[in-house]
Amino acid sequence: MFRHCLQLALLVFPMAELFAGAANLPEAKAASLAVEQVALHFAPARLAGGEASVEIDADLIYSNTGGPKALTARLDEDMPAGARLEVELLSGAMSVGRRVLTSRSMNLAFHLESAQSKPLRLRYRFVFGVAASPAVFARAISYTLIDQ
Amino acid sequence: MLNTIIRTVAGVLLLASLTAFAADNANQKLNFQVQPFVNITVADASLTLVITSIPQGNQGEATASSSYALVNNVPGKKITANLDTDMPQATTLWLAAEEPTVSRPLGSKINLSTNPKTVAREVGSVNQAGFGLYYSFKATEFASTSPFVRTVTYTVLND
Repeated sequence: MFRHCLQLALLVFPMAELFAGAANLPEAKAASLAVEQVALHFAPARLAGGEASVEIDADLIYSNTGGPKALTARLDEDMPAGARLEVELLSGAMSVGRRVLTSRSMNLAFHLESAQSKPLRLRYRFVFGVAASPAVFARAISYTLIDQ
Repeated sequence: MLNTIIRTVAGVLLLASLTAFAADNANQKLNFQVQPFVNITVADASLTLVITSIPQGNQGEATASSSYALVNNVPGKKITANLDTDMPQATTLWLAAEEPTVSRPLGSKINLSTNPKTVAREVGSVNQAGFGLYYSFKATEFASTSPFVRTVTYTVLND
């Protein structure tokens, strides 16, 4: 009997969490995002016109069973002086075009319709000029799906 | 029996709760490397300086100008200039170069030789062309009249 009581207690906790969260996140249930590559490496080796740049394509995978969503992105920290990171959605939804990423959230795409595990092809472009001192650094980019 | 039912219900609810809280965001780590780029180029591959007369009591002189372009993202550099071979007897080659800054001050005249001489110091971040190079070739009456060639090499080094 004691054993059964213990199992029931463990069961009640996630149920309570489920019902408490359901009221606040009705749409979050319907959408998910995942990155294909956890980490990317940008190391431009050629200089052209006083700027060095490199492009890398990457995929985001999203699922959406709710209404249309928009995709936003932001960096955890602004890029250093003289360097910038651009990103553009190439396919998978309606792109707003190339954007220079900062620590402020910005829209990258609209009209992400209902789909299961649909890829969103992104193109990153890392650019730096002579104002950027030689350095090695990292940034985290955070993508979010929001209701449109 | 009761145990089995409880386990089944617990599994279903756990699955339901995971679905309910599926992430609507994703993070990606981006690693960057800004490499040092230092590149100096001259505008003219070849210049010709000809002394046509030697004024009485003075040296003969011929001048020519060119320019250099510099790309540098490593502050604290200097530029040196040197010849491949020293100038022949009774001749000298002088250089005055604009420093690679916004105001482009003209550096002092230096007498070029195989020994590298500093043209500009404390060079900072720059990406520009058209910094002036002003040559002055001088000869006395004791200089040979045979034509000759010298190569000036510009080098960017740590200051």
